[in-house]
Amino acid sequence: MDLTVEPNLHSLIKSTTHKWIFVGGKGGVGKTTSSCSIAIQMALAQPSKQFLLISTDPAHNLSDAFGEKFGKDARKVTGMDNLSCMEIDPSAALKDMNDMAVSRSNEQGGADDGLGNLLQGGALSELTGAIPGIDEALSFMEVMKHIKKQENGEAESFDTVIFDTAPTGHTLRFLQLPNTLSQLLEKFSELSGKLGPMLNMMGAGNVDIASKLNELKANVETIKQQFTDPDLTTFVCVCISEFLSLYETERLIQELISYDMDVNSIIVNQLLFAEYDQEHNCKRCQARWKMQKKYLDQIDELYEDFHLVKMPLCAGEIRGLNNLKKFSQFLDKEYDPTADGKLIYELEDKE
Amino acid sequence: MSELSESEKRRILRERRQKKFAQGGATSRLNKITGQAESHLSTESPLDTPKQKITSPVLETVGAPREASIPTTNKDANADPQVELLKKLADMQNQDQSTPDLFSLLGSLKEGMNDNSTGATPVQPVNLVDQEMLAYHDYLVNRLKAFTILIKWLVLLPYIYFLTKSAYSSAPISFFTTPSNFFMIFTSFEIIATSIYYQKLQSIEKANKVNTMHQNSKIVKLVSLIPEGIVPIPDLTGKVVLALQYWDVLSMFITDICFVIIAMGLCSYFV
Repeated sequence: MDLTVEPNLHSLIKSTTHKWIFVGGKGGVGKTTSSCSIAIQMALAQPSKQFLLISTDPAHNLSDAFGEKFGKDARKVTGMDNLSCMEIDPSAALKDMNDMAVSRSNEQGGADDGLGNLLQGGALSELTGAIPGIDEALSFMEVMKHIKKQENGEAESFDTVIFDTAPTGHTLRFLQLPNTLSQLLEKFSELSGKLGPMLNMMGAGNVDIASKLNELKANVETIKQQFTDPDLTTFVCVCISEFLSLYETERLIQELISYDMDVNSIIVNQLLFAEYDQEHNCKRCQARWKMQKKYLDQIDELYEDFHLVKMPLCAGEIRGLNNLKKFSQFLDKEYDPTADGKLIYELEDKE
Repeated sequence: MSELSESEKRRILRERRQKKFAQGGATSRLNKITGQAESHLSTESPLDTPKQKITSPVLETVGAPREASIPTTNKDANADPQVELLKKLADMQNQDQSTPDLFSLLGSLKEGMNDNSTGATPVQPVNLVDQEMLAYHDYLVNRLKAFTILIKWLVLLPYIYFLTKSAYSSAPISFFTTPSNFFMIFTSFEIIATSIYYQKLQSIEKANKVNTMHQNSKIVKLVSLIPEGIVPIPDLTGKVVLALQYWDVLSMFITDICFVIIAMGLCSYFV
């Protein structure tokens, strides 16, 4: 059976089921441009729905991409009625939460609700280094809480949230946390049972760490259920046609698969298509294009079952809503170097 | 032939993708990528690496002696032992080690608490020493003890024989065979023999890096589990170790005394 896979993101753009879309890849490959492009195309294709584009990269770029300032609170993009943007630093939010909980516990001598209990006395900082993913999990929950707040504030909910993730790639490491926590909690309860009251005698801590971790585990499992549902969540990998980027993309995809996360689309950016451009061509571009084609062939072979979207290197920066709209159309209908070649020079006009 | 629905197509493609990454496929893909560029980057795939698991606690750990992996981070006075325990478990999971025995885990927890206690002598931590090493050390110590006892008895037996036979009261050895000097000679001999024994014991402990009392004695291990403050005796473990050392010396002395009594009786009766 021959199933052709379209070399575009048309099915994702038109999707009515996807609630969470992650866009990620190593630094400098065009993640932010790609995430903005996906968000714009989805917003244009489904005008009745609300979309939120959120950057979790501490080195935020969304404001620069759109040419307008965004902050911690969601704000509509100028010129789009159904697309909002938000820039949040999860680790800073988590640190604030931890500091607040510590100072509150020092003042009152008592525990806060929920997660605050876990943070009492800085216990979290003791654990985060030891348990992989716990830091990311708590950061993510902060992000989710923030989104919820925005929805309550704006009195409208977002149908789809697009995440422009940080290049570190650890954003989704917390998806393996439920397994880790299950094993740890099992061991912990086994040892607690053997030690009995001796553990209580040993210390003055009145925080029931085990129950708080169980609560955390339950929360993460709820999120994980959504994130591992391929109809609800997908991850779009962004790369360029060079060796290291290809290698990192493959590792990223394998890591995502290990988390049971769906990944079926890859955007290959900054392609020269030099052989199609007879007018503007140079020896250097030809040499680079030859190198890109070598890796492109490998990409075609490795990812034949993926939506492989090949995007051109434009003559100028893709900044501002209009430029992003022009560029992003190639996500919906693949770029044809002969027919669409002129467009990459039209984008160099600054707004 | 009916056309496949979109969801069916997606499902089939997803299965095809998963199949390509399964059963070693992930590593071979990375090999393919790095091979073409002649790169030295790692081709170990998270999909092909077996997931680390915390195994059930074992009383005996096998393998090369572990380095002291107990973190010595700053702990404030209110360090929660539950957090510490979880940390240790998580650390062990990360380091791909089986969960150590209960004594070691509690010992490392206790070590953290001793950092906070004031005025108390820090208890030597129960290191995660290989059990085989401990067994070998045990064997060496017991062998030393046996040899010491044997040599002492081999020296004592002729002495007792000469002591019991008044025919050997001639001048050169009369000092040794005079019954009134027996206790002094016997005690001096015991002191010298015990000193030599302990010197040998220390050299064995130094060579094996094992403290016989702290690591091989079940009594010391049990006592070290009792937290400070429960029993109104400061440095209980140290005192117990000292008592056990004294008992060791005393027991050897008593053993020799018993031997002397029996030997004297046999020599008097049969010889």
